[in-house]
Amino acid sequence: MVNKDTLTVRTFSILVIFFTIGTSILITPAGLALEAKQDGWLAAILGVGLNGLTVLICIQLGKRHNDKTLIEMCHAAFGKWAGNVLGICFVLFFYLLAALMVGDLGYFLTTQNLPETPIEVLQIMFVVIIVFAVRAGLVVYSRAAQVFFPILICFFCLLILPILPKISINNFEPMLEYGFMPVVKAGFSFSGLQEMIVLLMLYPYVKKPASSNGGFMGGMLVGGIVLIVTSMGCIGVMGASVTSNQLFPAYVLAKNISIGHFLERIEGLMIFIWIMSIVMKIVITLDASVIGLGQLLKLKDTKPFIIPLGFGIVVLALLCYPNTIFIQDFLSKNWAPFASIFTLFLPMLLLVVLLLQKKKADDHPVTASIDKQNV
Amino acid sequence: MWLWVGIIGAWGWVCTVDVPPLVRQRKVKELMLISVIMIVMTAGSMTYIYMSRPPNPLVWLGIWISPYARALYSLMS
Repeated sequence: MVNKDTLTVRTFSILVIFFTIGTSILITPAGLALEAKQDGWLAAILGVGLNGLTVLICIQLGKRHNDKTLIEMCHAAFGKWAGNVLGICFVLFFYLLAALMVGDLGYFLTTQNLPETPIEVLQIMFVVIIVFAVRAGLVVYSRAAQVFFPILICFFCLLILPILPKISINNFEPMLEYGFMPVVKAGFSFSGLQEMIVLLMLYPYVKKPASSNGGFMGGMLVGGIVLIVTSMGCIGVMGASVTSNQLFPAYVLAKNISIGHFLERIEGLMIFIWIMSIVMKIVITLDASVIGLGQLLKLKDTKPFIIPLGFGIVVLALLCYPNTIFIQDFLSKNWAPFASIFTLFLPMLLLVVLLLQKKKADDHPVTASIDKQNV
Repeated sequence: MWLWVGIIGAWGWVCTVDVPPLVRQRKVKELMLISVIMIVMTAGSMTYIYMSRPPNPLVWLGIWISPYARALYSLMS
């Protein structure tokens, strides 16, 4: 494990913001508009609410075991064998998530900007950067996030402010035309794309003043607001049908930027927002899986495993991502239910088991201490 | 072709940066684990390069998870 207390609450909040924005800023408006049509923005608000629930579970887990990562919590709750099985499942989930994001990044660049460049080259180049960042450590990449955060916010304002006059209220009407269920479905799919549970792997490294939980929730809310505003911008400017037909609607939205008919077609500059947030999310996810692997196999130093695992990410991304149609289909049909197992149901189970253990320990302190010694 | 460059680069990077300190410290467990990961990932790369329709882990996952996903989404329709 790295040295404890290496992240301030503010830095952690910035990492949470980057993590929340992640790939979602690029792809979620299309999914929201496809399911909920003009009510996609309502679905985004609902999705952020669902994410809030996930973060609340993470905070409760973090409060009770603030010196333990998710894998160590699994061991504490379920013992050695079942805890290890659950831990392996979480690590594989994190690893698959990182590979899919590398796939997203590769396909975004090859379809929108660099169509002649082989996707392998782009993915290898990004993974080399990611491997360097993870090898440098949590402190280094969190400081990089701090440096890039103001640029991210400035560019986001540069994306949103010029399109405000182009937003047509008619594109949001009629409200709830198809009822509330499509909004719920789209909100659930939206929340499945922000896997906040990954951040529980970094939670033990955050200094723990009273505001640390607020930092987690606050970061998620700021990231959520960015996503809601982007979704509203896409639907408001392009309408629900055009938004739902785009692979990367936020990128198409950036093509609409026109400042005084003088500064136009600055979407190339806007790519910075997406590249930065996706790379940061992949770095956090790969780091979480490396930490998890180290704790499962009781390794003292996990640094030598970062390059092989980074290499594996490229391979897994190439195998999992045959084309964008397949991945769109998989994401819309299967990803949110699959991710909800790891982001919602298993953490809830973990929390309940840990609460019951604590209750048992409070009721019978002697028996509980004997049980603990046996484990 | 580019994936070959990636494979050679990854092996070269691991063998020059990570392996020598582990050999000096005689950390057999770590060396074995690195070798296993690298061999598995190289095999995966070969599969991707040489098979016309390489296996897709997401298809397997989709088969396994789709009944649950359909049931969950049916509650929302």
